[in-house]
Amino acid sequence: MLIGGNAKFLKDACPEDATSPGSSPWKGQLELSFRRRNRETCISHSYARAPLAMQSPFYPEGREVCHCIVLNPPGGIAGDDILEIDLNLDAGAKVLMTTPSSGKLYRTKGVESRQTIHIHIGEGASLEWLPQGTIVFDGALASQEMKVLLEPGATFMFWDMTRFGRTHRGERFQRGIWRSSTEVWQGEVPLWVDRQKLEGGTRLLDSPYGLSGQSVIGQMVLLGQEVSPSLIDQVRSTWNPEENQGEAGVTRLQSGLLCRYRGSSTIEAHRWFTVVWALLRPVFLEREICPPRIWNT
Amino acid sequence: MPRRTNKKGKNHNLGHLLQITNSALPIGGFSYSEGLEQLIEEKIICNSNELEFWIKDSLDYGIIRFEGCVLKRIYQACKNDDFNSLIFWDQWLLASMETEELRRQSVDMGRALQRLNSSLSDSKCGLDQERVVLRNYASVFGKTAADWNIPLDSALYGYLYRWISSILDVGVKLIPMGQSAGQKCLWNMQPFLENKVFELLSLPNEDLYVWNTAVVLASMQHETQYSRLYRS
Repeated sequence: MLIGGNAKFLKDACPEDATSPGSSPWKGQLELSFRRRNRETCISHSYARAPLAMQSPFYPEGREVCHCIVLNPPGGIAGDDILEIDLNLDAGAKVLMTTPSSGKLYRTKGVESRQTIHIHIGEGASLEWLPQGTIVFDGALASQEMKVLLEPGATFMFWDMTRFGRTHRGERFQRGIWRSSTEVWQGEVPLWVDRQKLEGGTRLLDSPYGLSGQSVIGQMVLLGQEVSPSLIDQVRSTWNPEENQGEAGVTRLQSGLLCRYRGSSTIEAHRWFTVVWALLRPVFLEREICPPRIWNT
Repeated sequence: MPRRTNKKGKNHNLGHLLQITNSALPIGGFSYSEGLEQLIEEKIICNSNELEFWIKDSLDYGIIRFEGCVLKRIYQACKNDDFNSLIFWDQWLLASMETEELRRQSVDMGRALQRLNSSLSDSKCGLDQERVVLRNYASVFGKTAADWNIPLDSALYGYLYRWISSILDVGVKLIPMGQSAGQKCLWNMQPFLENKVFELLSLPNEDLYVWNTAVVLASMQHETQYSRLYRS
């Protein structure tokens, strides 16, 4: 198994203004299987091909929940790159995964980059897939696809935050195409299908139907568990429109819950999602939250 | 109207088409605002011009595209007796309705139309009726159109036309705007609508994408809007 560098190394290695870090395309791959034995979640299989890698798992909240950090040392993907991640959780395994920094979708000339994630969550197992945000550079052509299969009693928690354009330098998403598809299935039944596309430079950047002049969208989902209306109300009450710049909403899904955000601050979205996480985790995973320390670096 | 290729002539089943898209059809289509009530309350949509842009954006990018594409796939599955894809697309559409309010609207209207179809017609596609339980309005519309032998392009045109009318009706009531302004929007939309029918009929599965952030947010917020005319 490859062990990647720490977050600081990653930030140094990929300056923000890089367009495409390498000349030849990457075909990164990461396979991980987890199993539960004696109230402990351990890795039963792992395979990584550069640039994807994984840090040694760690156990900040005891042996039952395995925390993992997925590394992509170039910091993002450019045209023609393909990244594939396969995760398999056997019955009862409990895993939390995150990333060391925001992923970047770099500007590219004509060829689409692809990232695919396939996840299987066994009976009674849980995966919290909580990556840091994604920055879509002006001129990016990128497609992200995630397919999740849940066995009975499995729980999946996930969030993503996407910024269109490097807005801190005044950049807007004027050219390119961003596509993101997430499907979560339980057996033969799709619970949630979310297929979003934004083309750079269209009127959606400004129209109320689109980004309405904002630059960040985010969402958080919980799937595989029935969520009561009173819990939905509690989640709704964690968002205070007076104190926040962006706007937000919460609704029930078939066996789950969805939170959406549109605004200009990834930090604001992340802060809110963390509050929601703190509310949901004790209910569905019977634990308090344990935010990975790498989020602070 | 899109051209028909039906052998029996131009007016074949025109009556059925008019009936399935009639606003008097008791399926509750005019009880929902699809988040629009929230947007009008928040002063994001204040006049007929802004409403027209909202409708155009919906047709270019929104969930209504999935509804149209699923309608087509269900229609074809009925004609081909393809039970598996009938169920697949119906479930797929329900899973892509991302708020409880949107799902409830789709399911309630679907149930009402199914009941109506069963009570009106006996010419059914070859599928075993007992096994077919479609849940979404767009799916039931597609199946009904197949049962009633309405040509597919006309059925899709009718579906989108009915949707636009119901959205304009919300605008007339809540913005408020005049009936004539509503009719003008509907008139302006018609050439655009023909292109949309053509586009959606030829859209392959791999190109099924939407942009629904704003609608989903509006619908989520409408679920808790303090005082409202339209159902949640």
